[in-house]
Amino acid sequence: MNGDFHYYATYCAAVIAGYSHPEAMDICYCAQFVDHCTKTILNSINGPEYAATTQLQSEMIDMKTDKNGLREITRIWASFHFLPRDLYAERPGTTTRYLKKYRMIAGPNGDLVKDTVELAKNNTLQAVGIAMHVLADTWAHANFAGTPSFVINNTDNYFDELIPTDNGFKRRHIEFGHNPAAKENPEKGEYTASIYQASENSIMNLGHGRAGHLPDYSFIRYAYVPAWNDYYEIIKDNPHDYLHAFAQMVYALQYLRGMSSSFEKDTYAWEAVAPYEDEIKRLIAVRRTDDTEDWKALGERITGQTIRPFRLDEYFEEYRRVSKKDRTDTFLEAFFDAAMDHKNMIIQRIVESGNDIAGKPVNLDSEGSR
Amino acid sequence: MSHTEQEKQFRDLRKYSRDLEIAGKIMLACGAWAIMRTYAELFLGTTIATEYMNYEIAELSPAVRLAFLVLVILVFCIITFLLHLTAGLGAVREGQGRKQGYLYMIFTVIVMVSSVWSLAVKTGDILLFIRHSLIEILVIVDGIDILFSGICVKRLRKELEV
Repeated sequence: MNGDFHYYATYCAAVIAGYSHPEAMDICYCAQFVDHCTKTILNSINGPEYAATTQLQSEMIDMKTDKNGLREITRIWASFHFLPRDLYAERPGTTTRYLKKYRMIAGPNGDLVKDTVELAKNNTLQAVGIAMHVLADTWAHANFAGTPSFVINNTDNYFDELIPTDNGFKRRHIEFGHNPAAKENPEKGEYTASIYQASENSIMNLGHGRAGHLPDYSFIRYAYVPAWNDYYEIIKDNPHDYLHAFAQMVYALQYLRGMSSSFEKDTYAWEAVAPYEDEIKRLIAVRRTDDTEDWKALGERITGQTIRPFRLDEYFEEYRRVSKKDRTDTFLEAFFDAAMDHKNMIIQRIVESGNDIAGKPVNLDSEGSR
Repeated sequence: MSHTEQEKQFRDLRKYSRDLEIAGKIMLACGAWAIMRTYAELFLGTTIATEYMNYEIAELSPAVRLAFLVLVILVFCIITFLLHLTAGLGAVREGQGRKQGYLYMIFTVIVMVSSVWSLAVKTGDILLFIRHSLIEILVIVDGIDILFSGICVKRLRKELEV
């Protein structure tokens, strides 16, 4: 998902769940910061590298895709953006090597989502924000894996957009361009995606690169054939998924605030969302690549407060100003702690399933960050 | 995840279409290889060239004989290439969803027959025979693949009315 959802929609979900404006601002900042917290940023503020929650393209291009390099990539992307749906999924007739990657396919309502939300219980707002980002991405990035894999993440030219008509949908073929600087035009169906690269461990085959930005556009419905699905078509209904992601976020936030005693999978706060559902459906369905204005307007109408725009370096000065031993009370330190805890938890779960694709969790005390 | 019968049919159509497209491209590559191999052996190899040179083309000087030989082989190569081209290109187009007739299948059969005939031509050099037969066997297998996938694609398209 993009900033419009991770920042503004998360704010809306937080206030609907009962968080105050300042709390919601902290939560939504952290949810969005997950998409920016790279090693490069961390080095610039002298933060712990292990807290990285994403990677720049330039960082990945420099990386080797040997076993260790792949583990480094997987532990970040699978933990924060492509949370595996089922670490114990079975696929008869496949090799162990294939199965390890197959089990990394992301999707909503897996056991790891429950673990993620429960980890944020009685924890900082930063942990809550991270959990919301991860939860939301399980919907948007479903059916792709957070590890470079041609045999899992590749797609072919069978890509059709399903455009609503009066009596159903009509299909329009999508032909992807590969110029990353080109502007996408939803009206004309002009989109970009990563280039075909038959190497199994190529970065081009990480996540949803082969589907371009389509998973991150709330309005679009499309049919495609992922490499792992044995030539069966998948229909991705983003309006449905985004609405469910929002309702599940509200439910999760209600749980984290103590309004319910447990967090269950496949459960949504439809009652709480009901007053806003029509408006959310409308804004999700508009054919555009950025819904910021409408989400912002909704959030400000709910609280009567102004949602300040996301500013990446909002807390950098506070973090830089203090010495390492005094960082405990800083905003970013709490984010880094939560990110590292979450990453370790996910890696531990992956290890427990008998999969070494993400390596082993790190002893955070030895990292010197706490 | 369970699938309906129609979903399985569409899935099979995608699978065989892709198979057909790849098989068609292999056929095209084999056609190009057939020409390259022939001329490579003629001008770089010794055995085949000298065998051809020993054929009885009575009352012609060696130079004329060579020119005649090159011309015959050139014509042979063009025919071979056109056969492969028609067979392969037709398969690729059918695999990509553009409906084709049965011509490419007929040409595929002709290519397969010529490959079988090539296999049957005996030569005393066993290594040369193996070298030749690998590509001929590939062409035969590829041809079977094209025929099978092509028939499946046509049948599924008819059943699904696409």
